[in-house]
Amino acid sequence: MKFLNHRYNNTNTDLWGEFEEFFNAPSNFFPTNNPLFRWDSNALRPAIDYYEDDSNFFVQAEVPGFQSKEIEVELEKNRLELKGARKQDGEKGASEITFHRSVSLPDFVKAEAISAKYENGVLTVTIPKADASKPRRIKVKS
Amino acid sequence: MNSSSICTTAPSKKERAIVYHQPRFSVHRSENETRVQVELPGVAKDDLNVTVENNELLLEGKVSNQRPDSWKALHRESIEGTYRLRLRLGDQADQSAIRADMANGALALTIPKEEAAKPQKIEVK
Repeated sequence: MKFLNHRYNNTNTDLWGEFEEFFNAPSNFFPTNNPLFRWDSNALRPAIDYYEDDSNFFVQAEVPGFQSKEIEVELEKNRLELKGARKQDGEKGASEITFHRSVSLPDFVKAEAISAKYENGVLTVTIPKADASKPRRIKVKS
Repeated sequence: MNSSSICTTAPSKKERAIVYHQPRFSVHRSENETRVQVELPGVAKDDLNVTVENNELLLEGKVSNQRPDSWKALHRESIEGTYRLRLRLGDQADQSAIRADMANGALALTIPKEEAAKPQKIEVK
């Protein structure tokens, strides 16, 4: 667990920091005893990468050991929710392993064209950019 | 000390020179076998090597980086490189019968006990 925390807690330094869902971070705006924000406190918070190219954003999450049908990707307004649950047998009987992470997306994406793929324990969500945000070459007239 | 215990061994000097990452893993023991679950996100089955030698199990899995060059990283939390885990097997382990199942970035190792080490029921006449 120590290993996990070491790698997974550095989200405040990123370029997308302002987009990162504030529910994930300890917040002064909501009291911590609010059950709405505690319900999945046992859920793993997987490591996440963000990438972009000219026409897409990509979100990759490390969630090993799941089946693709056990993973949910939802879009609520501009908030991308990554969730999953699976059963695991342990010494103390079966237990449930869950993960949850959410990412706020910028406005200029094509929400209806988002797609997701799960491979080798890595979930990749492809978020196409809206046309207006793609780099355009403007011809300079003389 | 339980002779079927599993513990990690320290890397050698040569190994320390290269950056390896120790994966998260959990161990479950039962009467007849020990199961080890190892998390290896981003490792394809073909990039994983598991070897047993001198009562030690060595696992190495390279994180395959198949992202196109056009992808520009905005933020990274995942690791790059190779996962490595060394496990010392207890002397009750049946080394020839170890099974390794890799699925979706998670490896399940099943290490059975030798027949002689399994609990045996003795018939009362």
